[in-house]
Parts: sequence; structure tokens; C-alpha cells
Amino acid sequence: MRFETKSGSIEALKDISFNVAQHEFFVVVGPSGCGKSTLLRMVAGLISPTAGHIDVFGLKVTRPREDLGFVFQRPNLLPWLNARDNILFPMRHKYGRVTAEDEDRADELLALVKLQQFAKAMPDELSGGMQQRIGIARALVHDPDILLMDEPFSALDALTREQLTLELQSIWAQHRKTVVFVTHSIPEAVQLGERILVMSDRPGTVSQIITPGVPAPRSPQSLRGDQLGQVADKLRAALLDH
Amino acid sequence: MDRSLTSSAPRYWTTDPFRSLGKAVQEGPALPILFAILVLIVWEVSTWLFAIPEFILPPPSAIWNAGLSQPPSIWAGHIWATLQVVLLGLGISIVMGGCLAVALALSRNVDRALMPLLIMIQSTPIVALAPILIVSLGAGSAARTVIVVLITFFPLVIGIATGIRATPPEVIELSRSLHASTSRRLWQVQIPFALPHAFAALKVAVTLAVIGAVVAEFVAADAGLGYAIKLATSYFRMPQAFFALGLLIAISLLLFGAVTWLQRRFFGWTCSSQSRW
Repeated sequence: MRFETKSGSIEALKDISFNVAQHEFFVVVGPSGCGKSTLLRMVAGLISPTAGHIDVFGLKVTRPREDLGFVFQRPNLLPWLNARDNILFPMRHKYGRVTAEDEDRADELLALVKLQQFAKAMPDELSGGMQQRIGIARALVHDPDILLMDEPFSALDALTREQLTLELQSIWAQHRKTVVFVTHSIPEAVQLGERILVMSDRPGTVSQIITPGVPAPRSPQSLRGDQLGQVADKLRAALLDH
Repeated sequence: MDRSLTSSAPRYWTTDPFRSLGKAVQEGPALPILFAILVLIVWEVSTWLFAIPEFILPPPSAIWNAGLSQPPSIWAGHIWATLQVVLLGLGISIVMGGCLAVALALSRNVDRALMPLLIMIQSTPIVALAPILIVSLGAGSAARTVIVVLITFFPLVIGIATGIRATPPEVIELSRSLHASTSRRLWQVQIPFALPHAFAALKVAVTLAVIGAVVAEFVAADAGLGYAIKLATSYFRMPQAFFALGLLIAISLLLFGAVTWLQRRFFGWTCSSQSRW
């Protein structure tokens, strides 16, 4: 993947090749600026690669895909809509109206992210963590098969971050989606990833793919175990090495 | 016993008359009003004390009497003449400016083609343009309305276009991934995101609109508060001129207040996260 800029062309990603299995929790970890977000946007079909191709369910991605949910680094809620209407926004935006089923679905999702009592709250009345939960619920409203998450917890404080990591894991355990989760946090990668792709930077390439031996979803206690401890060490070595 | 003691202590302080008066002065509108009254008194007394002639600076009492010496229907006629031009000009400016801002924000080519022209209009001294326009369009309210449109157009276009461009790129990506139509993206995402900027621009535009209307009335008009000022000063009737000036300030403030009220009432969210003004 190349970008043309005023100061010349920049090679953001190079020779990236990997497969994600259905219902897998796939984590991409790498230093900032290594092209993780670019990779995610190419999977979403928001930008097309200058060379090579991306297939989802055996079909080449040529335009923005609608069967996936995207969770951004910042919640990016619409400030004029309350929490529930923000969750419903993709339906209203796509179809121009919301059905009774959509509304039921929004209520289910509010319960899933534990914000039922905040349905009518406006975004500026919610904390950062709550806003991001609404962002996750919004990404799930059209029941996508694939969930793409671009450093979704990086703007949150450490405690909220840990809490949301565990909540995301339990959401995934309940509703198996194929998740591609981009992060630069080693604990997050170790906690969540069924497989972890480590990227090196400029141009971003696959440095290695690590498969922790412990099955996901994992308890927070298992992070202290030897096996995951070794995975964390391996990740740390791979990321700090080059 | 303990409880009654601790709960009665603060109650005593809040009912203290001096304290509540002090609080009202600090928090309510009392302080600016008191200060304004003080300024008026100093003004009145000093014109009398230093024997300042009325044609240099009339005292507030003379201004007030001059205002009352004319029948209210005359003032109402002047107010309506000015207000009509201001409101019509603003309305045209908002509709045209809104459409142009959308075109500018969505198309790079429109932006490149029109921006130099817009900046040229903005750089044209409106006072110099007014007599020319009045010759071409006649001395009626049409020319005055065009002047109001010209003076308010630029801040509105720039404000709304900036707002549309300030839509977070991620939300645009979300919209693209949902395959929403351009018009739906505009109405459900970009225009709402532009509203805080649009309101800020509108607050600038309402005061500019009054300036534009008055400038136009100075050049050619047979009614309006600007015309009233010109007429009064040509006969050295300073108190009347000041009264008309006061009415103009009141119109500006009321329009500004109306925009602020509209924003708070119907678009309260634009006040909360963005700046309040």
C-alpha cells in the first residue's frame, strides 16, 4: 500500500499476507504509525490497496463493506442524538427509518453494554468509557459478521480500559463475531487474541503471528499464568526489538 | 440535638438579608444594570456640570424627551423600514450562503473557482459600493437589501463551510460504509455537525446586517433609523439622533438575543460541547 503525499510517496504497508478464520478473535499489534489503521480500512473497503487484494468470505473487497461493524479510536458519537438514537443511527442512516425490531435490538444492545438506564442520555453526559460502549453497540446494531476495532480503548483511562477489555471478551463469547482488533497494548493483545499478528513498522510488514496456547475467552487471572506471561514476553521482545 | 445545630447554622447565613442582597448583586443581572444606571447618572450630571452644549453631547434626559416628542408611529415606521431590510437581507443571505457553503464544502473545484470571488466581495468596502448599487438598482429597498446580503454573505458561507468540513472523518467513513446517499449524509451528518459553526457565524452576521442596512440608508432612503439619524444631524438635532442610535443598538441586541435563544431552545447540544458564544 502506497500513499502519494506532497513530500513523495510513502510505503505504508508491504507484503502483508494473513488469513482470519470465521469467528476468530484476531489481534493486530504494532508500534504506532506502522499502518495498522490503514490495514483495517482496507479490510473495510474504505481505501483500496495499490497492489494485492483483500478477500472477505471468498470475495474480493472492491467497495466499502456494509456487513461489518467499525469501532473507532474515539467514540465519534453524534452529539445531537441520545445514546439509544446513536445506536440506531446506522439503521436510520442506511434505510432512512428504523423499524420496531431495530428499536428492540437497540434496547438489547444497551443491556449488553450495561447502559439501559442511560438510553436517553446525551453523549456529553456520558463518560469516555460509556461513550465507547455506545460506540461498540452502534457497531453491532446491524448484526454484522465482522467487527473491526481500531484501538478502541486507547483514549480511555487504564481502569476503564481493563474493564472494557473484559466486557468486550464476554460480548464476543456471547455473540461470536469475527473480530479484527488493532491495538498497541500488549496486555490487551494477550488478554483478547486467539491469534496475534505482530507488525513491524515503515513499511508495515508481518513480523510474526503468535498463537497463545490458552483458549479464549480468558479470565483476567490467566494473564498471570506462565503460558500467557511467555506470550507477553514474546510480544514485548518482537515489538521492542527492531 | 447535634443535627439541629449543624442544619440550622447554614440556614441562618442564607437568610441574612445583607448576604442575600450581596449574592443577588454578584450573580443576577443587578450588577450590570446598576453600573449602566451609574454611567447614565454620571453622563447626565457631567453635561450639566460642565455645561456641555446639546449639539455636542446631549444628556440622557434630553435624548429621552426628544424620543417622546415624536409620535411613536414615526419611530415604529423607521424601525420597521430598517428591520424589514435587515431581516429580508439576512434571510436571503442564509439561504444562498447555506447552499453555496454546501457546494464549497463538498467540491474542491467549486471551492477553487468561487473562493477568490468571495474574498473579493468581502474585501470590497461596502460603504464605497453602496452609492454605486443605489444608482444601478434605484433608491428603493431592493438596493438596501442587496447591501445587507453582501455584507452578511461571507461570514455565513465561511462559517457553514468550515462546519461541514469539521465533520469527523471517522463519521464520514461510517456513513460511506453504510452506503448512505450523499443527500442523506449531508442532512443527517454534515449539516448537523456544521450547526455550531453556523450559529457562531449567524451571530456575527446579524450585527453586520444592521450595519449594512444603516450604511445603505445613509446613501439613499426615505425611511429607516439610519435615515432618521442623517436627517436629525443635518438639523443639529443631536438628541433625536442619539435616540435613533439607541433604537439601532436595541435592534442589534434583540436580533443577537433571538439567535442565541433559538440556538439554546432548539439546538441546545451546540452550546454544551462547543464554546458558549
